[in-house]
Amino acid sequence: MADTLHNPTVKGVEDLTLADTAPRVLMSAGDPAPTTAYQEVRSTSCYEAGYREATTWDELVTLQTAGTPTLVCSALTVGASVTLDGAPIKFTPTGSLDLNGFTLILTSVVINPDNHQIFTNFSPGDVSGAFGSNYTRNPDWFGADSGLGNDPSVLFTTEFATADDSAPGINAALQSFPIKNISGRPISGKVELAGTYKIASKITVPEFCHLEGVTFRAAILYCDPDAFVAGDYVVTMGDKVGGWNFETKISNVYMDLRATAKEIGAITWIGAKGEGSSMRNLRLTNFPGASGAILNTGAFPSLGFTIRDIIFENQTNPPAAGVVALNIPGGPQNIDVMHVTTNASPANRYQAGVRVTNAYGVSISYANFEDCVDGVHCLNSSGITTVIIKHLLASTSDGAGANSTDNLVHLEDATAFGKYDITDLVWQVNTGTNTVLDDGAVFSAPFPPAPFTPGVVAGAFSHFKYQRSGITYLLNEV
Amino acid sequence: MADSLSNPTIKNTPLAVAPGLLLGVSDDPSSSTYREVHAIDCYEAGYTEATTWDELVTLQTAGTPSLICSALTVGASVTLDGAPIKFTPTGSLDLNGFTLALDSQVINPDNHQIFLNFNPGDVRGHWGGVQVRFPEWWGAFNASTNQVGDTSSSAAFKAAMNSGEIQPALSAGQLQIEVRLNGQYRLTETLVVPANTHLVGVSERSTLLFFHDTDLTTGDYAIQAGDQAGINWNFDVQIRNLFIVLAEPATKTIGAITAIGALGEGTTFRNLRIGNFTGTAINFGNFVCLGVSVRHIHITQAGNDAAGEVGIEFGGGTQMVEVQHVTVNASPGLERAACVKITNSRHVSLQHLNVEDADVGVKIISTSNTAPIFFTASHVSATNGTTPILFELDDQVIGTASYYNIESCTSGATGIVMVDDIGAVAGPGLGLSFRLASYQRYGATPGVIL
Repeated sequence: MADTLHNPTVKGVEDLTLADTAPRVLMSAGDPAPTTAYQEVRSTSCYEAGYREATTWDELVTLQTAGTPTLVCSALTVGASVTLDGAPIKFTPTGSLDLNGFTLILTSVVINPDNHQIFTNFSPGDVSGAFGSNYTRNPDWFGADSGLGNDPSVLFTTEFATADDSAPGINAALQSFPIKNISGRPISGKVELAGTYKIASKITVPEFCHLEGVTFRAAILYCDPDAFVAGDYVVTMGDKVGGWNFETKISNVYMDLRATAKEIGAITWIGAKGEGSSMRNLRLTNFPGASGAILNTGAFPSLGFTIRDIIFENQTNPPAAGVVALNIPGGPQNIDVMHVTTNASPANRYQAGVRVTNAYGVSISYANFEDCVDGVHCLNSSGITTVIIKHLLASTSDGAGANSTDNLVHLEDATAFGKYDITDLVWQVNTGTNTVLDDGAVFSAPFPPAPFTPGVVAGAFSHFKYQRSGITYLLNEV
Repeated sequence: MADSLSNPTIKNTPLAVAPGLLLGVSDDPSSSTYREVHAIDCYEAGYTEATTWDELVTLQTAGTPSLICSALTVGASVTLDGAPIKFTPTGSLDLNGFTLALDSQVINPDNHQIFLNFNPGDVRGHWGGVQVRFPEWWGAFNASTNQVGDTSSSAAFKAAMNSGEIQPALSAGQLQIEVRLNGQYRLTETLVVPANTHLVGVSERSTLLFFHDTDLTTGDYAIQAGDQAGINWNFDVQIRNLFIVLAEPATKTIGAITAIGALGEGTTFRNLRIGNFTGTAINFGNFVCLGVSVRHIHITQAGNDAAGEVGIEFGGGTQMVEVQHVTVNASPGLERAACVKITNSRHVSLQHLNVEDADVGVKIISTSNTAPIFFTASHVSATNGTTPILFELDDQVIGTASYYNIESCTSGATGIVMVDDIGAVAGPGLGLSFRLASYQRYGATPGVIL
């Protein structure tokens, strides 16, 4: 470790000639007397006030052990699995750590002003810790490349290379949070996305973690269809297959699979979804859908789960069996779905905008369904279904025709116990077939007849309250 | 400012030949001129070091960006309203009994403690328009390595909470600041969040406020929302993205959040996980609430109904309050009196509430003929069958209409019980204008189903 003479200032040019005095060593000691020893002064590019440079891994450990703020200006290779719990570690734009097969627990403050890759040669989970109590992470620190611009025509003019894949960096960031036992509960944090990333492998958002973009136009995941197989989803929410996944979130992200016929979905969930889990502000483009769904909340129950502001668009290559945009199977409870829009490419449609199965306390509201066979499709084989459906619109920007939405709501209830409270349904133009199609096994199909057909003229709307309770239809207002 | 030769290193090499000229100005050893080199330990391009308090004041007065690398002691109560002040990891200011009106931008990249020896309110200002504050700058102990531990961060929190600029002509209290948290903290006294102040963590799993009942008195709350007592408004008090925990087992009755004065528009509690509290988790008390948003609150474990403790309580005068996405449960044997209790309120809206482990899910009481109930609820459900009554509507006033709109709620036991304390006058429902839609009950437990 170099002893550092920090940042000398040059004190002007003095008109001193060698003839006046013997050459002097002008050093920090301030001794102007002639001497036969001198200290050579070298300029270094690695300096910051208050920090000491670590030129090797051993120096880094020594400085950290001594609690000395540490500056890393070069590529250092980790020499052992250790915990660094000292003073701040600051990386200059050329500084990095090669994990080299070891693991690091980083509890020191980590400062990386330009957000360049500072961890190399790692596996997800090799670097973890509180980072000095910073529970937000930038995946670029782990090699994700957010600087790809936002023009897909440029992005995909060249083949994906494995090295271009930002998913490993995002996964490493998501797995870099400390698992501490505070009052019996682990903790975690948020990975922030800002920019455009190529994605060529799966991303998993563990329980308690939040994958959050800046906005869904400024945090873009361009997904490589060649890297996935039919049936895959790009993002899996939750990491506990059989248990609860509390407070697991994704928000403010734009995902684009490009035009492909391969049945790949955007997001799926595993395990049960608990309080605090949510998906918000997502734009999902060009996903044909895995297993028929672009966004699938999984087969396990959900409780206290929020889905808001989801845009499905440009469904250019739907599978032959059709695709559901948002699929909520598995007996969901207390799910709030708001602000969903669908819009497929011309000549294509979604089988359903939102499909719920055996829903219990589920609300779907403020949704605009364009190009769907069914806007909301409620399937029920259970005895305790309760669904509220409010403020739906069927718009037809493609113009009236076969590709617009057939049924704003489709109830397919095999029981006599379903409870549905449906109000405020609006047709932009008169292109659909049924405002509410009720063709469950208990009830003769189709129902209701004329009063529930779409508005009679373009631009008109039908506004009514439709309650089905037990085996009785209650028509409150039309 | 001196011309700078950046950061030379010293190579301690004996001279084998006649002394030559230093230095790297021109790399010409035959030069007959030289430059004298002074070593300094504090440099950053664009800044000038302040080695004393007086130098700092001089630099600030001149509008010169100032670098602090050492512990300086404040020498007078002044306003600093100049260029940015940047602290290196070793820089700090000892308040020394004085106060600072700090309107210069403050830069502290490693978030270390830069204010020492202070009282709350000693450092105030708009900090160059950057209204984000970190309690670490006042010495909050952020438990990055261990359990939360025993080091109290209360003094630091109090100072950070009271670092906003005072503009009484515009609003009660200080102008808006956001106190940003990023870790786990132990607090040993009730934390007051003043009006116009946001207390914001990263997430309800990573940002933790830890309390012990040994530091508090029965009846205390961990956090008080608002600092304007009486009939004064507390606008825009926000508490978001936190895990608020009481160490268990607690032997005293301690609540999580209470209110003072009147809570007004902009007040928001959102993304909170409230764990192990033995008192009422969130108590709006008897104060007026107007335009308050309560969302994504998860009240879990502990509980207690020795004195009627509940999950969330709205006392008299609540108006236009929105409650959404709330879950409440309790530890075994510590069921709460109610998950949500609302008294004499107007236009309270409750949606997506999941209740467990309480005598009543939602209890609504009317005792005033001047504050009729207007209440809307939907998607309220009870799980696990541990809440015998989902809604209890207790209207104690004759001749005053109360309005309930309850729809799409599900209970495994009794759905709604109407209670009329005027017993001799009439049966349940007297004087009520009641609208109930799509309510479902299943199971065999008897009760009043409307």
